[in-house]
Amino acid sequence: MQILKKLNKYKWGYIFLLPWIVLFCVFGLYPMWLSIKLTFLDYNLLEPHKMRFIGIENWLEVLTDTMFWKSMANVIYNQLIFISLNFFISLGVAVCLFRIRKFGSFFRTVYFMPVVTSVVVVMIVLGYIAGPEGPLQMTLMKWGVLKDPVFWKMEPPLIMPFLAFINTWKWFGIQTVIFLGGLSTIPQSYAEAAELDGAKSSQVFWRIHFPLLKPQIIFILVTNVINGLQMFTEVYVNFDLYGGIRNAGLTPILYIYATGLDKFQMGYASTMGMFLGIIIIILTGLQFFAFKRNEV
Amino acid sequence: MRRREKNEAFYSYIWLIIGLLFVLYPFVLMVINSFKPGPEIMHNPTEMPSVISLKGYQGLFKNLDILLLFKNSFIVAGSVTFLNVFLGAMAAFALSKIKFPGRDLIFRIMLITMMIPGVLFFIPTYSMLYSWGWVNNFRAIIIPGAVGVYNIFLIRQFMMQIPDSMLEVAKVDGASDFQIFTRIMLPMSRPVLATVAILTFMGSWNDLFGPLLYLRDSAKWTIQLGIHIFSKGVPGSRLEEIWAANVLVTLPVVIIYIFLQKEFIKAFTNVDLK
Amino acid sequence: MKRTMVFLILFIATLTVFSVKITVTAPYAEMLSFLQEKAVEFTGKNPQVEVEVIQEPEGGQIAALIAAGNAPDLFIGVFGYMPEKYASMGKLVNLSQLEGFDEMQSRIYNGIHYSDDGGVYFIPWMLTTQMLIYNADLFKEAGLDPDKAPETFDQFMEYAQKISQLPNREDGSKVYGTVFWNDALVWGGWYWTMLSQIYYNFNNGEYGLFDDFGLDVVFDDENAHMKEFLEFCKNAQEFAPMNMEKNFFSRSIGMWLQYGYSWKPNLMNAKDEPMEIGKDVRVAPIPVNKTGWNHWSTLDGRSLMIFKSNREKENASWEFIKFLMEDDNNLQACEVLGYLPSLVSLKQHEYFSSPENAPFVAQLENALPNEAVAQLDEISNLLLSVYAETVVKKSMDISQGIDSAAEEARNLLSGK
Repeated sequence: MQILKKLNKYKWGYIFLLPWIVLFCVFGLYPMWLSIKLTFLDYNLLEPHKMRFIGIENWLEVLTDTMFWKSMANVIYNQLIFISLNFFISLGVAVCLFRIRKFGSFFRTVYFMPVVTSVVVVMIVLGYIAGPEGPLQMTLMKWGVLKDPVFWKMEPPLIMPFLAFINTWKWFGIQTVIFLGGLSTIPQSYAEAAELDGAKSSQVFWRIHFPLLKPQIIFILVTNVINGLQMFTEVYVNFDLYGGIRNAGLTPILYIYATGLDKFQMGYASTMGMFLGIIIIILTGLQFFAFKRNEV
Repeated sequence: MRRREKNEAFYSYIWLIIGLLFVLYPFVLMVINSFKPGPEIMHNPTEMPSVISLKGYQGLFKNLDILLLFKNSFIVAGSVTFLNVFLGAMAAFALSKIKFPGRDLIFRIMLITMMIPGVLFFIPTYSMLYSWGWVNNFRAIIIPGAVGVYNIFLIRQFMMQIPDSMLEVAKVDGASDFQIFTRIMLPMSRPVLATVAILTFMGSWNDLFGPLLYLRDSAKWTIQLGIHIFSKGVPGSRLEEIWAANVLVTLPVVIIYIFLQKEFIKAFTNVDLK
Repeated sequence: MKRTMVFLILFIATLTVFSVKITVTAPYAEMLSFLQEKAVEFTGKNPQVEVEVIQEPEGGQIAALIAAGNAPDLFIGVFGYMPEKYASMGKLVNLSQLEGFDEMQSRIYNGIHYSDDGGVYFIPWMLTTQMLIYNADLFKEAGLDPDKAPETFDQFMEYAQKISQLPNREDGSKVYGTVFWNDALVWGGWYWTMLSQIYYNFNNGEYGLFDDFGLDVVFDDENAHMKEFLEFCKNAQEFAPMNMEKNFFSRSIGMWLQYGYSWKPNLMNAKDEPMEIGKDVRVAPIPVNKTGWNHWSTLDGRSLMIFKSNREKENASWEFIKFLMEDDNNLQACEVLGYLPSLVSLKQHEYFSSPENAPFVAQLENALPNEAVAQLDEISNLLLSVYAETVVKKSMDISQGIDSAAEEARNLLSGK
């Protein structure tokens, strides 16, 4: 009786949460449970009768799988370039936007436009522009900057830089606005005081503004790494399921996709998924930790 | 000092205008190419079209039912957005304004699950939805994505700032929790709901992974899947149509964005600019 | 009145009881719409069978379909490794045991393949062969006789060099002797089927990648001349652009060794005006290594496979295959989709004896089917990366590349 009364009192709380709880159990917990179970099985999707328990063999295999680590290295390579390019471009644009009085919102609107476009379209359009017969390389060759056309999809070391370049075009708008937001919260008086002391504008920026942007910078770094680890569409639309020549375009998610749906190794694919999940959780934890320390 | 500021502003304008060219060029090229005859796209990449060709657009309506693709994308993205806004607000309301046993535990679980990207479980999820016969049905994309934890989190943060006193007044007047939710919380949370709506809609509209995995009947394709499959035909054979498709896919989004640019920028960056 | 009603209800009831629904996958849009038309026609004749045509799921998802016990009944694939891969897992119906197979086989010209276990797992629906296509105008300009295609690879190289020395075109584009579809090197193992015809002509069609049993690779055998093949490509690449964005249809390429029958629609989209075989462009057999050898091509095409399900569905799918293999339907499919017939009866059809189509039909005499080894895709991919590194990027020694690919391939075959 008591319990019922209590339940009645609190019922709205549970009712409001019910949709999430149900969906989470069905599409979150249950697949996660399945996934954990799969990591201990040798399970070929097409030959379920041959399924067997193999303990932690899958986990050991991930640790020594050169393809998996290659895909991780690819993503890290990509992100190193993407993050630095994106960082300097958006910081530069943000500073420029911060310094002007008129037309600020116009520039902002245009600079943010690539963010709302789709990856599929961006890959077709920018892939063409940056391609060996596209306008960019044609112009560079006309100017004599480039001697021979560059076939980035076939040059393993160039694949990830090109993708990073294209992704920078697509995403720098977000970071620009975040930096701009950070810059506007910094009190004008800081910079004015420094300027009165005779500091140059570049000095003002690097000594006063830049250190104060630290929270934004840390946030952006970690978010980028996490997003990068989940890169899929960019490589899927350009290469086969194994990332082209020497697997230079292979990313972890693409590799999981190929292992599960092309090689049918569901157990192993799930193990790699879990492994990647653990790495992402650790990174998120680090981000949280860095933030906490920053606030102190 | 004023002079220096002027100088800085001057150089900033120059840089920003140069940047503008880089940002706008792909959009402009896209439109130009969509009106170019196929061979010219291939052979004269830097030149203007010699004649305005509508072949691309015509072919698109003939060979790829583009209106149907738009409709499908709208159904999927619209449903996902509606569900996320509504169910997300419900959950956020419970977590921020109703006290009941287990609330904090649930919130903590949510925070943890926020770190785990769902895409990692796509393989078990796929087999599960498969055995339910959901494949080739919009619900395979809509239902599992109906309420995102990050959205709940965003809305909760916002609702926490709404003073309890407002709710107390309503309660004294005899309003039930449900009435408080629909009459006070939803209207007051409009800014954050707009953020959630924009993020969800854009994410769903631009997604290739979900449709790729679940929608196989061409009558069910979304616009992204449609152009991806379309662009993979024999090279060079459908150039005009591919470029026309790029324009048609991008245009509506850009138009909506220009009208709602403040809300869009806020949604993606969490920064409120004047 | 009442009686008619009862009759009608009974009729509908029988229909539902005996009706079978089969699913057919189509790999691309044109084939999808063609098959949808045929499906309606088929159901008109066989009201108890309903045929649903769907787009083939992308990116390997067919696996999940099969796993969930919901495989398409009739699957349209390529020749060779694909049927072998599914057959080795026991997923395909052995067509040779179905009623009327012998009759079907007797009507088929080329492409029936007996698997190692003695089963037949696909019907070759339509075929395609490859030839050398060349630009007659550029031949004339370079002082070559457009009626004499290169007979040997040495001649080919000589011609390629001559053509590549022609001055730039009016729009500034350079003229190349030949071209290879290097873009496709990053799209997976299937691209080997567009290179193997050149390789076959280096060993007179005696060596493929595998031995007869698919247990070992033979491409590193000296007599297979893989080394000469790669050297040829490397040298020819000197006279070729790096990829196909400047392709044969741009009129600035002299010769192309990878022209398959199904590229036909691209002639229409050529620069300035459509190309026409026999006029501004010509086709000829792929050159050979030594004069007097046969000119080889690969034999590829579209295969029809039946996934195991239940008797009714399997039989209904087989009936649909028979329907597609009827003379009229097969001819129509070939015309609409741009393939060659696999039926003896159609070989002499006037459509295929036209000057632009006849050479491809004649080439069927010397066409080697894809090797039906389940690991073909992976091993082709190995070779393609050797190709990219030795021919395209020239960063690797050819013999060394072949040896390392052979070693990796042997590891793969032995399951290491």
